[in-house]
Amino acid sequence: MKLKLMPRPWLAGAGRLAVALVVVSAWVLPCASRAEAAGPVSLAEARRIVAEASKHGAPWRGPQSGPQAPGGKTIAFVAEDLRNGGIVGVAQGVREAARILGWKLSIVDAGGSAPGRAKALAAALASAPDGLVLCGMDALENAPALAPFAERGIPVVAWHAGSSPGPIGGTPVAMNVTTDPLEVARVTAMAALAQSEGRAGVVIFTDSRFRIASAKAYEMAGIVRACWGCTLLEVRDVPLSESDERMPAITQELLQRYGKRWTHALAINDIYFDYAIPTLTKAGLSSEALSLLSAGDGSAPALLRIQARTFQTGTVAEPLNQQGWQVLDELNRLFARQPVSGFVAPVHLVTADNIAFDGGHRLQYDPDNGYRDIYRRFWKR
Amino acid sequence: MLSISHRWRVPAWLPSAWLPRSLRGQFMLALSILSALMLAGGLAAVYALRTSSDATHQLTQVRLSRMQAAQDMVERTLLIERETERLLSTASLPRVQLSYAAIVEQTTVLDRVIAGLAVAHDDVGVLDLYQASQLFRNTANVVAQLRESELKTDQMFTQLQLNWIGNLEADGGKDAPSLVLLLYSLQGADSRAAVDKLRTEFAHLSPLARARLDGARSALATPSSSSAGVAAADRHDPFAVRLAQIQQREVLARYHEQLSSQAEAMVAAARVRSEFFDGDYRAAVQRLVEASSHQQNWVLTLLATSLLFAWLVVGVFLGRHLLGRLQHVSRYLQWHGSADTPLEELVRGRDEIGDMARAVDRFLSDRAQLQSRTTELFLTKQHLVEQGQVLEMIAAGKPLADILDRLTLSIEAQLEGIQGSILLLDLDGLHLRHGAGPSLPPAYVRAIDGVRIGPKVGSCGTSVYRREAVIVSDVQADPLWEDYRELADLHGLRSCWSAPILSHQGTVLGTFAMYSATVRTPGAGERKLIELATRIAGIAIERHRSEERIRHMAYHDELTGLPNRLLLNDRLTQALMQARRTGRSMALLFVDLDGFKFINDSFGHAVGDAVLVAVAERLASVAKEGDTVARLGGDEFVLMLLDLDGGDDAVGVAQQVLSALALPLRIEPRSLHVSASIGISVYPGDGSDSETLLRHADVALYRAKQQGRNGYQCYTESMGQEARSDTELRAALQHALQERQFELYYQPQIDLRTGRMSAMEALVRWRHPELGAVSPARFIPLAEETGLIVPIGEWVLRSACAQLKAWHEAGHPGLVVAVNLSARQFQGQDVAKLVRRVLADCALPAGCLELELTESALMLDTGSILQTLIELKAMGVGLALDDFGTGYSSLSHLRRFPIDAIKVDQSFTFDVTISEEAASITRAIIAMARSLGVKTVAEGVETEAQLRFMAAHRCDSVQGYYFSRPLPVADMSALLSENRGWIPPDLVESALSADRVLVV
Repeated sequence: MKLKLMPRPWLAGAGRLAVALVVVSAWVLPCASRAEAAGPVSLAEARRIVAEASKHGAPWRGPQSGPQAPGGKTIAFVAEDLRNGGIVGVAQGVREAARILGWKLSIVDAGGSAPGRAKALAAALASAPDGLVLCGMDALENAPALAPFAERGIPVVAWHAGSSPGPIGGTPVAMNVTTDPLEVARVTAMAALAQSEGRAGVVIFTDSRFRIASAKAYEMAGIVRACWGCTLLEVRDVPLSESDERMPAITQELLQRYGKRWTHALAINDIYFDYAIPTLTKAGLSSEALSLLSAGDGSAPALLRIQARTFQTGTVAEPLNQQGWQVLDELNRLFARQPVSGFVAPVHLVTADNIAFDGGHRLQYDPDNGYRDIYRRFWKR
Repeated sequence: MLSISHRWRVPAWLPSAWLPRSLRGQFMLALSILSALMLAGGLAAVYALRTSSDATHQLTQVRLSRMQAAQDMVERTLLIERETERLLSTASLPRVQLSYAAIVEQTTVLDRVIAGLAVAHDDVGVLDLYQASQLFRNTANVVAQLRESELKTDQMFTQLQLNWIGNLEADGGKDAPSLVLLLYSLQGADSRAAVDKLRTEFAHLSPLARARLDGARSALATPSSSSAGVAAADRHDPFAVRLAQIQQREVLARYHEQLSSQAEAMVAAARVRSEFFDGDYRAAVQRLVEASSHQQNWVLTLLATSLLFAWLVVGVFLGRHLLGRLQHVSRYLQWHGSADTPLEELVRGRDEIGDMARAVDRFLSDRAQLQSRTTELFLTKQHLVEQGQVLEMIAAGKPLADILDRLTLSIEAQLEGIQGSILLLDLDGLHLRHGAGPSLPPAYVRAIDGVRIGPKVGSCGTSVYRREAVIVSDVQADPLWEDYRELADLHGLRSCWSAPILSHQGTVLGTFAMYSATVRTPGAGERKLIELATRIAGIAIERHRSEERIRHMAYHDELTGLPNRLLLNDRLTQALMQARRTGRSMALLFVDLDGFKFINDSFGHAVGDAVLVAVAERLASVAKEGDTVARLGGDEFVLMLLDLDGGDDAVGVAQQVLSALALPLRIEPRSLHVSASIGISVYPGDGSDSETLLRHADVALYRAKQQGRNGYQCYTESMGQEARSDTELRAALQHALQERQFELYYQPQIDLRTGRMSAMEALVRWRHPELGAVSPARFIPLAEETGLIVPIGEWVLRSACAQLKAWHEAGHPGLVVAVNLSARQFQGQDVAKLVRRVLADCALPAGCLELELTESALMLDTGSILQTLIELKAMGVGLALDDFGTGYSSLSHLRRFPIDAIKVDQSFTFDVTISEEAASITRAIIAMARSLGVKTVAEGVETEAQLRFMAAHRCDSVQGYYFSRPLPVADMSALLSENRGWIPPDLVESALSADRVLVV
């Protein structure tokens, strides 16, 4: 049991969640989870859900209209950690859309640390932007630092800053762009169930500092537990920002502890696997021995691994580039004092089988639904 | 206070309350500010240098570290790539693992390098770097893993190949060598087709081989879904393994290629970053330079401010604020009065200079005041001197014209461009006459001389008309000058200020005016001078007029305006001188009105005065040019006739005078008749000097009066002798009483009812041892004149009473004696007391004494005389009014005074038989007296006709030469002894019958 409780008093909610995870990971007490309450998950259902999530070529279900975009806006993009491929992917989408809109984009990297966040938000505020994009940073945890933006009338749109899409209460975030994280977690867990024919030995990696991460981990754990033939070996709390340092050792430790019982690693983010792979490779483990599945974000390295069939078999990828466009669209709506579109992209599981589609050859999940043209049409850009 | 603004003033933005009051404080403040500014400048300079240095240092450090990082990144990338090459080129698995470990290590370092490169940069290009590094790292991982899998597959294939070769060799089949050979050749098959071909050959060579292959067929039929490894089912089939090996190599080759391209991308990204940093560095340096320049500007500004302030302190504070102000004070002291350097600002200063300025200002103010007072005093003195000189001229009686000229000139001397003028108001009060105008054009002076005053007559005419000053600043514009504009313009006069000259009673005497050639309004000083001038001019004019009047009064009679005695004497003296020179005659006519006293008493003095004025006019009308008509006083006039041929000319004039006066005088509302008596003396016959001529004319007049009225008398030698005795008489009279030269004569009064003497009038006679008998008509006036009448009167009273007593005792009881009392006797003594004493002394009954008074005596002092008369009456003394008819003949006198009898004046008695008028008056008098119960006594009865008239008209008593002239005591005693009847018996009877008739 190596779950590390982060001694951070500023995260009471996270603390409570961490306690819950301790309980879950202890295998001792039956925990009332949503998945459990729903009853045992059947393999067929898992396969159906996975198959559904794996379809490609889904049409655009997002907004078809919106305000015309003015030029000359200045956008501050505060990234939780640019080592995170998902965040970089969104940033690239934002960058691409900003170039189309003629907006000036400045990117501030918090480096995944608390002082970095404060510094980044202060720097963003100091640059007096027209709008703020909060990327991968928990909005509620940073609500005090965000308050000045609201006071100055600077609209804030976030990506993966809360546990659900839509506005985040108690913060100036008008729209949190994300797919349904619980659905993501569910699909990920189901994929593990389907791959293992209901006999998966699962370790879940999460970061208790993030509400969204904990929610995903909780959901996945629930599903794994609801699977009679599966084993939830451990839920491991690893700060995302420390994954480069810690994952090699953790992976080594887990390999030694669970051996062949560990068949599936589920993570709330691909980044864990970026740093787990070297250890797995060095351990001489074959790709078939351990399947890595990520409940987000579908970073380029993840897609590379899936494509190369090296350990990672799937990732529930966020349409990062598209979400980058959506983020700016939501800001544009806020600039025009209109409500946000509130669009939530459907969940999509990228596997080696469907990676050839929807931008996979460019190592990204970029749906071929023509969203760029649609946005440009009503932005009149 | 001086009112000029000062150049230096405390700036408006500098609240004066902040400034210390004292100069020391201001110095300290200025120095403190200067020090603070210089310190700030120095600190700013140090700060700027340090900041610049730090920033440069930091920038250099950052740049170096970033350049280093970029270099590191490139190196790491190349190292990773090289390690990957090594990994791919080695066949040793441990070696692969070592290489991989190295790769992982390098990628970890690379991550940090990239993080270092990317941190705190808003350049979106960093995203590419991140993405590239992440892909590169993961691709390296993938390559490593694929290489490991490939090596394992290689090992598996080699092992399987050896096993199969061993097994084939062990089996020893005929095809074994071929099969072995074929298996060996499998090692060289590089493509799926080649492998499939060898596999087909292998299967066709021997059944054993086919059987062997069948075990692995399924695996070949269902190729592994994993590209990363070999399916478990195929692990015994060398051909399948070889196929997997080929597939793995292909994949590896692809990822290797990808890795290479990513490495290139990394290097490129690193270069981009490096360039970005370079650009960023340049920009930062530029910013630094700008910041440094900005700071330098600041430092320079501070230094400049310090310098400016220092300059301000030195230049403005020391230069202007101190030295300037001191200089100002000094200049002010030096040029005080030139009024171009004010102290007003300085005086407000609160510092030491302010104190000094105030002191200086006060000093100068005092000095100015002193100067002003001195000047004022000097001017006042000048004024006084001028004024004094003018007043002196006035006092000295200099001609008015000279005085006014002098006054005007003195005023002009005190003013610039002023021409003074004085106009005098004519006696008619309507015209202005030239008084003075020494500087005015004579033509102008002549033009305005005699101008009539009015409401629109220039400044002067209007000023007199309005009785106020009229200031006309511009003659050409003022409507008052409408009629005189051309005149003024002609003489170049443009402004005129005029003020009325007033007497001390406030009457207008004239105007004083100031003319100037420009449009001009008088200042306070000029107004003051005008006031002064009018005052002095007023004094001069009034004085002049007074003198004129006094002179006139001294030489003229006020009432008639004729020359008086003084002037007559002057003229007479001159006329005599001339007459002597020319040998011509001249004459004096003394004219005295007859009965003027009567006019005065009857109609009052106003009428009398009017008569005198009218007479004067008539006399003047008679006189020819050169003659003089003078009034000596009362009703006495003198005509001095010059250039005569002889006395006849004078007589002619006297007759003309009488004729002129014969016409009635109209004195409203009545018409009066007057006549005059004239005495004439002629030069050289009647005297050669004025005194003699005058006296002789007077004597001749006396004679004319004596001769009856309305006539003239020429002087004769005999008249002169009479007249000469008056003086001698006056002297003799002084001793007459003591020397018993007086004697009483008695004239009987006859009672017409009895025909007997009832009373006698005592009459005083003076017999001088040398002069002989002197007429009472001569000496009584002299006695009255000298006051001797009082003792003489008392002597008469006492003597008469004593004599009467004697006669009473001698057998003539009942006789009454009448004694005359002069008006003079009532003055200064108690007549009643005297009478009582005398009666007592003589033991005479009061009823035996009758006192005769004239009407003029009654008029002297009615109050006290009335009282005396009442007292006398109470004693029983009889009172008679003498000379009735010649004076007022006032009936009211008869009523008011306790008169017992009136004595009809002898002039009436004389005329009753010849003048009906006199007869009527006498009748009326007698009737009136009778009706009042007053007795009448007719005086001067000289003829029987007169007696009969009196008797016929019931006069009570008569007295006169018809009966007896006044007799001395002895003669009277004898007459008494005769005891005879005095009037014819028929008269007595008629008188008695008349009484009876009256009684009936």
